Amino acid sequence: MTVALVIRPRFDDATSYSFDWCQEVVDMLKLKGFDVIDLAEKDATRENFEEQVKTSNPQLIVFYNHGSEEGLVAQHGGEYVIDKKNDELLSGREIYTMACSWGADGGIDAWKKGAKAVWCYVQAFAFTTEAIEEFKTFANCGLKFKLEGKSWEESLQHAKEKAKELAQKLVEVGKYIASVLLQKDADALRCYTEKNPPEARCLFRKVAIKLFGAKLGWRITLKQTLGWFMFGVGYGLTWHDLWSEIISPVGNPYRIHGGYIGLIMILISFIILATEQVSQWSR
Amino acid sequence: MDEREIIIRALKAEATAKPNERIYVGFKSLTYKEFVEMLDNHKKLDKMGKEFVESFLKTAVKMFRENQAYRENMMKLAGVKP
Repeated sequence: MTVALVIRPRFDDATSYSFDWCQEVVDMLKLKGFDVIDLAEKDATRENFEEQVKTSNPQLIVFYNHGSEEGLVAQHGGEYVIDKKNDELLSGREIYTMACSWGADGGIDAWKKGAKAVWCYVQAFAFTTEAIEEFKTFANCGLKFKLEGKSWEESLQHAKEKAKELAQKLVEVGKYIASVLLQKDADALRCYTEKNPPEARCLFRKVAIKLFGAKLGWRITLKQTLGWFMFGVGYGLTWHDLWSEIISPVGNPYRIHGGYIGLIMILISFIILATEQVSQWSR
Repeated sequence: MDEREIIIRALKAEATAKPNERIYVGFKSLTYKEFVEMLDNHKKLDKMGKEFVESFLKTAVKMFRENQAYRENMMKLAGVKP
C-alpha cells in the first residue's frame, strides 16, 4: 500500500483554517487507498517527520501550514519541519504543500536534491474569511486532480484554470478582494518536476541552464563556476606562455611569466573545486 | 483617475461595507479596512508587506484590464462613469 505522510500543525487562526482544509485531503487519500500517517498538531515536528520518512518510506508528503522561503513551519512555529538541512529526505518522493513562499527557495532546493514533484507557492498564500470554501477548493484541487490520474503538470494547469473559474465566481457575487487574492495565489503556484523545472532569476543560472540543461544547470554552485573559470583562464595562460617560450626563447628575463600566474590560478581552482566537492559529499 | 486609483477606491468601498471580514497572510491577520489602508501607504511598509501589496495591485490591475465584469463592477463601486 502506498504511504502518504500528512503534516498539519495547528496553533493560530490561520492554521486552524488550513488544518480543516487538510482534513479533506486526508479523507481523499484514504478513499484512494493510501496508508495515511497523520502528523497533526503536537505531532507535527521535525523529529517526527524525519523518523516517519525513514521508517515508513512515504511516496507522497503533504504539508498544510505556515511557510517561508527557508522552510515549512512546525507546530508552535519554533522550528522548521523541512528546511535545506533535511530536504534531501524528499529525494525520490512527491511533496504537496499549502504554505507561503517555500517555492521561492526551499522548494527549489528540494527539487534540486531529487524530489520528484514539488507543489508549492513562490509568494505568500493569502485567503479571506468571506470565501473560505473557494480558497479551500483551490488549495486542495491540485492533489484532487493528481489522484484522479492526471500528471503533475496537467494538475497544475487544471488548478490554475480552476482558480480562474473560482475568481470569476467571486467577482459575480461581489467579493472583489477575495477574487484578486485567489487569482494572486494561483499566480504564485508552482509545481517543479523533471519536465517542469523552476525558472531561474539569476542571469548566470539562466546561462548554466541553457548550456547544460535544467538538471545540471540548477546544481552548479557559484564556487564551481568560479573554480572552472579560473582553471580555464589559468590553463590558457600556461599554454600561451609555454608556446611563446618555444617560438621566442630569448626574451626579457625580468618579465612576469604568464605561465606562473596560470599555474597559480590552476592551483587555486583545484583548491576551490576540491573543497566544494568535499562539502557536497559531507552534505 | 488611473486604474490603480479606481481599484483602490472601489476596494475601500467594499471594505467599508464588510467590517467583519478578515484577510490572512502568513502569520498576519487584517480586517479588510486595515488591508485597503495598506494599499494607499504601502511605501512605508516592511519589505514583505510592500512586495505583497505591489503584487496584489499588479494582479488587480491585470484583472481590471482583462475581466470585463470585474472592471465594470470596480468602476461602479468607485463611482466612476465608464
